[in-house]
Amino acid sequence: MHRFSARNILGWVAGVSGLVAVAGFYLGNLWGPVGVIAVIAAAVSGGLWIYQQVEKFRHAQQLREFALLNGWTYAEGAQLGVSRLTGFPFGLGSKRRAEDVIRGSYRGLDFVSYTYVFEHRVGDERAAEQVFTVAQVPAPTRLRRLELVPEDAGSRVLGALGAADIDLESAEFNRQWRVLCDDRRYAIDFLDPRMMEHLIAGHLLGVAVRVDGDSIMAWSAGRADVRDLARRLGLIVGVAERVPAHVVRTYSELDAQRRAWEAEREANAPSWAKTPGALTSRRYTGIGAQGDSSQDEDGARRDR
Amino acid sequence: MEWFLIALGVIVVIIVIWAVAAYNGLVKLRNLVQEAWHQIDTELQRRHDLIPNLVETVKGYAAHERATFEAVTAARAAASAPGSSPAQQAQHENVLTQALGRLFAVAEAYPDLKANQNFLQLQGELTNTEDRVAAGRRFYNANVRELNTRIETFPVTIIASMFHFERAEYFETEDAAARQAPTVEF
Repeated sequence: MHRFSARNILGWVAGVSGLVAVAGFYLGNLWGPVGVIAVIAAAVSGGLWIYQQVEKFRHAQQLREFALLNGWTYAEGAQLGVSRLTGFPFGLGSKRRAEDVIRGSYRGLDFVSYTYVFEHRVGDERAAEQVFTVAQVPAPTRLRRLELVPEDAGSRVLGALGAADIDLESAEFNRQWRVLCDDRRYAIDFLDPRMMEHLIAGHLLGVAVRVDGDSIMAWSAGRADVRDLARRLGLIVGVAERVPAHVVRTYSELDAQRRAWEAEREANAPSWAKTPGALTSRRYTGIGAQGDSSQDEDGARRDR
Repeated sequence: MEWFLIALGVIVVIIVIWAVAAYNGLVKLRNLVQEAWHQIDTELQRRHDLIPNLVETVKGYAAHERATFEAVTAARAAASAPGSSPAQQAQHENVLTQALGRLFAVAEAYPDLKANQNFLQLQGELTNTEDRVAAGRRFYNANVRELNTRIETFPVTIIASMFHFERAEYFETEDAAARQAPTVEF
């Protein structure tokens, strides 16, 4: 049994009023005030739904034209591995997908921009669609996670990310941005005066910036206007260009060490661990056997 | 009367808890400042260790520039001396930076030196170290700012003065050339 909520009202009004209108039409007895109200409600709800679909289509058309104008590619949907991303708004709900995907190059950096959609259910309520706009560019090296949330963001976002803030030496920057990072030293190193100046100049209402791993992204709730896309790209490309040299050096070295360690681990791993299907083939593999070849033969006989 | 005493007791307990939390917060900040200073000190030490090798490399090409070499050596010795406060250390580092600037200016006149691999490597490491010193300085000053703000803010200032917490010094460079306004002539 679904509970009523503000998010479900549109659907319920459209459904119930539509049923009443149909019943009234066929029975012929419900015409009058109730029937008229039901018909009007059905028309309004249906009209709103149609308006939403038209706006969605028009938004997609604008993005397609804007992408073509700039020599970028547009796709209605694409497999971007969004399910693997973590941190709000990723990792929530179900039916996660990327729509209106634009790929291209901006100031020498490859980017991808998309509308991230998922369905979220709270308790017994019907699942509601959540929409976010995301733009991503590659970071110069693998970096630690750092969140920059505009101070005008709603409490929901700040609550989901954790509201602890790091203050820096620019009062204007502290007024515009909330810095969330588990390593205060890294945040201060990353946000040097050049970076802060860029972020102050590029501050966009409701757009948050996340540095995580090998990508830098800007995200915000809702479907963003196509005119916002260039500003968002300018914001995150500027961040990628201004990562302090010593931070890039330090984390490049750490990344190189990590890769070397993983390569060594791979080289030293036993052959059974690297053979595809060795642990799932339901065949006796001899794991744990201390050089007892008779056990191997017994196992092979059992399986025949 | 009884209720009054209970209420008074609750208020006193709250004040004591707040005072303990304020004191612990100040101790934590003071330790953060000290730790940040040690990190800067490590980078400064690395910078000082690079200089003798650099001087010897340049001497191989410009042995007659004795005054420049002596200035760098003296500045390095003063900067390496222990027991300086952050403000004093900043002054020593400023003098060393100016002396190194003159050394690199001398190197500019010798193309063979500029192409020397050892010189280039040392110059690169020095630049990297100075980047880390600058980053360390920002982190240290951020901690100092937080400590000083907490000490001077009411009512924590009451606890700070009771337990003799003092303001920390900033570590600031004073590059005269950077502060001088450029002269523009058309």
